[in-house]
Amino acid sequence: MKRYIAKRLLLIIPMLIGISFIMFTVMHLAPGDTASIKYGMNPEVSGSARANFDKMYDLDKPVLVQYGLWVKRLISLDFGSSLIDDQAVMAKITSRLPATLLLQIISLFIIFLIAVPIGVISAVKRNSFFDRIMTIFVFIGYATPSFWLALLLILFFGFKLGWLPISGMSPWYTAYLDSFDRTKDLIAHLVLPVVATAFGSLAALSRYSRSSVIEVMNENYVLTARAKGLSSSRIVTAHILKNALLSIITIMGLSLPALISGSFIFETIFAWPGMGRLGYEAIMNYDYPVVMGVGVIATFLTLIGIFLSDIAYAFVDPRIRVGGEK
Amino acid sequence: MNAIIEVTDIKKYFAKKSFFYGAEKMPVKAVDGVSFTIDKGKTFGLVGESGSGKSTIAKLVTGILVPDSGKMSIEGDIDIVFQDPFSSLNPRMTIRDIVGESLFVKGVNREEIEDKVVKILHRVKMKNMECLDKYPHQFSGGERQRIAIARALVTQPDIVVLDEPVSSLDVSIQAGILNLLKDLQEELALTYLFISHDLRVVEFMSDVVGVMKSGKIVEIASRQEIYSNPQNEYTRHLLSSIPKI
Repeated sequence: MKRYIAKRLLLIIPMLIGISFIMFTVMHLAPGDTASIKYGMNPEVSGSARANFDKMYDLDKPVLVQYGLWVKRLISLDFGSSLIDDQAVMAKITSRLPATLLLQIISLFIIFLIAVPIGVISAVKRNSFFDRIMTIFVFIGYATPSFWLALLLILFFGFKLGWLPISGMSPWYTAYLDSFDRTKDLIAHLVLPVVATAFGSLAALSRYSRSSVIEVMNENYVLTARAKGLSSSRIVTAHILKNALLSIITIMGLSLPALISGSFIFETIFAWPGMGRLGYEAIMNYDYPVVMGVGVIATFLTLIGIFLSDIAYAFVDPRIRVGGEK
Repeated sequence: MNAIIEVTDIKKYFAKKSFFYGAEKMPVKAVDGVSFTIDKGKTFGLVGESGSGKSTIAKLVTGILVPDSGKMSIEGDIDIVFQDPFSSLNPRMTIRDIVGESLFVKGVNREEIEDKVVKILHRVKMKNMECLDKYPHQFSGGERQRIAIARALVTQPDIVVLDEPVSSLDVSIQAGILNLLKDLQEELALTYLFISHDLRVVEFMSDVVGVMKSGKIVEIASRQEIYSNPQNEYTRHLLSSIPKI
């Protein structure tokens, strides 16, 4: 087990190198450059001044060399500074990360709290009216492009009904509110982004829960449990759920990449002041150090999340945790 | 004779429904009018090829399934041992919990459960008492089947249904389990419903044998009669297909 954990942790390093290399090259493959974004509209900045700008930030060197220089700085945990406003990348990210984590963790909880019961009830009452309604709901959930859903939510709840704020996390007047009203205001701002973020994964996870519960229900030890004369509620909780939930936890880890990449889209749509929107703006500005910083942090969080769920899964399964002598 | 189980003309059909219309297709006649009696302390062997409805009878008798029609009278408690000891034990429970759970749900107190679990494990000749806190995957097939037997016997049933209890085990281990079952029957005055597709195993275990084919019992007779003077053609066909060693 210890060896397994160490191996998995070490594997994160080559993964990070590979992913960051791809990000770096793809970013530089895109037509356009930072200088024209920054000074393109300014007639007083001459061509040679722009060339100087490129030289100053090594942007004139081949991409591979630039990548090497970037990795060299990264080893001392130096993410560099923004090409646009000269702020340290790390400071920019740390100021934005809490908003993203708040949104993602709440979404994750909501997904889990809604999807798992739906899946379990659908499985236990298979082919019932509830199950069929949920099946239809799930396929609609799969098929709906969630960015489009986000726009519909804004249109309907923001404009037509006017119930909920459509953008940002805290408005200018937050400072004048007491802590209760401030929390209420924050929750109101969270509703639409959370719904949009959770919707797609909700469908996937409830479907997965359903099938994993059905799989466990067909296990012979469930038959044994019935032969023991246990009540059906005990069979469901002690035998079926215990076994099914653990594989569901793993899938939560695998849904992290979708959530993080979703944050780029939803934070932009809802003007959420998080890391995703920071990344989006940086991409639009050819702000290479910021793009790379956000990319590396997002990759790292995803890999750690998957790692943790793998470890958790291995840990709760006695067949892995307790080495079998036979 | 004092019959402990009396089954009269039970039927169980499985209907398959399609997803959208709920329309019934042709039902599968798993058990189609079966009658038999088992005397106290005896073993009734049920033999037949796979798909003949043997396991469905096991589930009907133990109440896991409810018959569509027919009458069953069972005097005493009944429990069951399944075929595959690798899948019939919950992989996330320790042996203590697997064996003791049926006592736990009956509200037996902790010390008494521990006591009974240890005793019954000893009785099925699990050598190592450290096994209590181990998980099923840490045992071999034969040991797991002993645990499954202990699991069934811990509530002190009068009748045990043995649904192919040795067919997933190596032949070398089968004999050990079969002898254990015979010893337990004698010690605890158990009545067995022994289900198998293996005619030699059934011959070794049973007092009375029933031969099943497509949901019906085609012949019931004492062991001697079935094996020396079979009346039904299907029985003769089965007997002639026993490999000679």
